[in-house]
Amino acid sequence: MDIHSSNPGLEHEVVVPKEPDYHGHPNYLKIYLTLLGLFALTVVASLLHNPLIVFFIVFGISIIKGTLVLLYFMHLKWEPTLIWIMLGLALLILLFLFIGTYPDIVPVQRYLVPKA
Amino acid sequence: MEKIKKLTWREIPQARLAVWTLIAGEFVIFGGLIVMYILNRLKYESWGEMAQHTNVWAGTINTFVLLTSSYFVVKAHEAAVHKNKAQIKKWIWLTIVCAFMFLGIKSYEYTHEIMHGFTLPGKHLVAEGLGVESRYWSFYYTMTGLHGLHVIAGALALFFVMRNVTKTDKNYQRIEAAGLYWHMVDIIWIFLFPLIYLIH
Repeated sequence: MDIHSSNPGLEHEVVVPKEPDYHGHPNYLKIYLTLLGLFALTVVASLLHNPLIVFFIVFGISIIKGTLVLLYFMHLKWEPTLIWIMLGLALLILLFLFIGTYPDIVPVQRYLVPKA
Repeated sequence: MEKIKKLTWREIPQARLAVWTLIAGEFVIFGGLIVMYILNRLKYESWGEMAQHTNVWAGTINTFVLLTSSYFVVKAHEAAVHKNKAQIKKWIWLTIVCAFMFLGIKSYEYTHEIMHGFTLPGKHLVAEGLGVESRYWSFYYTMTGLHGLHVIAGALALFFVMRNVTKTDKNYQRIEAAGLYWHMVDIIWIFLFPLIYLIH
């Protein structure tokens, strides 16, 4: 339907063509500024002295930043479940890799040696 | 607020499905490296001292550059929806400039580190009895080098897609597909930056 002929008063309105697989365009500037804010927080948190605390804080912020990029910049939020399953499987493989190799790399013998 | 319908797997364009499959594979490759880095970092406390030799300022600027480039790419995608060639060109070229900036800063870092003896085989460190510490630099160069190659690939993909779309006036959906790859490069750096540069 031609929007101009059906709405004579709207000749100057901008008509936004939709993609066949339209998934919406969130406010990208807002997300970008949020990412920059989280990035600044990461740098500030790294000034703490305890490396383990720094690790948990900065890695946690990285997960939030990565999720924001995935959901809104990459539009994962609107993608079919199939894509979520694919990415979920990739993360599951990494989890198995972590759990499987942890005892070989980080010494855990002290927990396994039976008490005399 | 507009209600947006979630796509079914039959509706997703093939190019986008292909790029998502590639991204899942890339996540396993880089994720594997990151997992191994974290485990080794837990084992060797001295890696924290090695991390102090990285240039945090350069890494910080590069993170800003990549985050900004991700914003440029979504703007290019938005322009592609409107089939606005001039805007597509503008945003993609800005992204490519960001890629060059990133690579330039990384090259400066590499030069600085190599000149100080922090090389891939770590001969200098091994000679000083710091074999374990030299492995930090093996991880450093492997992860950042592989990421750098992906930055080059992403910039080339964006350039060729932009050229094709603006010349032929079709296949606008390819801008989004190439953009997805670029965002993946950004996500990987989001994790590499704090791990390599900030946790001492």
